[in-house]
Amino acid sequence: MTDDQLSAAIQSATSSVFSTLLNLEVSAGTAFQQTDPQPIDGVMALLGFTGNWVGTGIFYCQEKLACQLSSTMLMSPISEVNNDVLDGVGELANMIMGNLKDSLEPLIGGLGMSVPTVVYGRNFQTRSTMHRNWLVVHFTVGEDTFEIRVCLVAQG
Amino acid sequence: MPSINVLIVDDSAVMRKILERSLRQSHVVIGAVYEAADGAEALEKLKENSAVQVIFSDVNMPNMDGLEFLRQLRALEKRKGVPVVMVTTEGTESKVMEALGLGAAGYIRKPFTAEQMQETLTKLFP
Repeated sequence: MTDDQLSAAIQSATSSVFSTLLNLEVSAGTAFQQTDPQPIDGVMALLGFTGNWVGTGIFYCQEKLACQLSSTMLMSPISEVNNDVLDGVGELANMIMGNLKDSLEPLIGGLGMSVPTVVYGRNFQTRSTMHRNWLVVHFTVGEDTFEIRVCLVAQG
Repeated sequence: MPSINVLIVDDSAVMRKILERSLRQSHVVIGAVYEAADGAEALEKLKENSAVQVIFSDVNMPNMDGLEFLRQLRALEKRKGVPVVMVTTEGTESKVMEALGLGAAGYIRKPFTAEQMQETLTKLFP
């Protein structure tokens, strides 16, 4: 699987989920490779992949956007991060990574997927022990941005 | 049309709310909506509640996933006939076939549109 194929699958899965679930159009930036990121603030949902390829998929955004997205999902105003926001971001990430998984399986074989883990905080850092680069795609929705970050490595 | 009582099984509370809203916006009159966060909790609710007429269940859940829930539900003599619609992010053919092989009445991929939900309900409750 090439970076271009992975990038296209990320963009397609993300656009599809935002359009169907939230009725929002997103625009994707150019994908790039990055080592483990610097400390950040916000809400992050992580899901693990297993199979012939293993790795992690991440959805990350600032808390303002996390609240907006969850408000749209629940059709109810939410102004601060609470359990509904964490749950909403987890479910959004679950759908994006599930769609991504379905797109990638014809290329790399069957994948298992974990349930999401959601992190909210300030000045936190993530690190993959696989010591590989992440493929990162930034998206714009309205005036806000979020990112999808995926690290997948062939086993053996 | 008489109202339909529903059990929604999903580890995400937000998803349970979205599903309930979507069901209540459909052509089917929804009565009571019961919730469970995984398959094990759903089985317990079904043992003590005979009012449930249709189940919407996620597949990928902690503790007991949707496919195992489906297997164990079919072993419950009094409740094995309740139709189960799988609602999941995983739309691969193997997962769909496995769920249908275990007796699922339908399969909806997340995120779903109002039309897809309507179509599924029409098949179950024409």
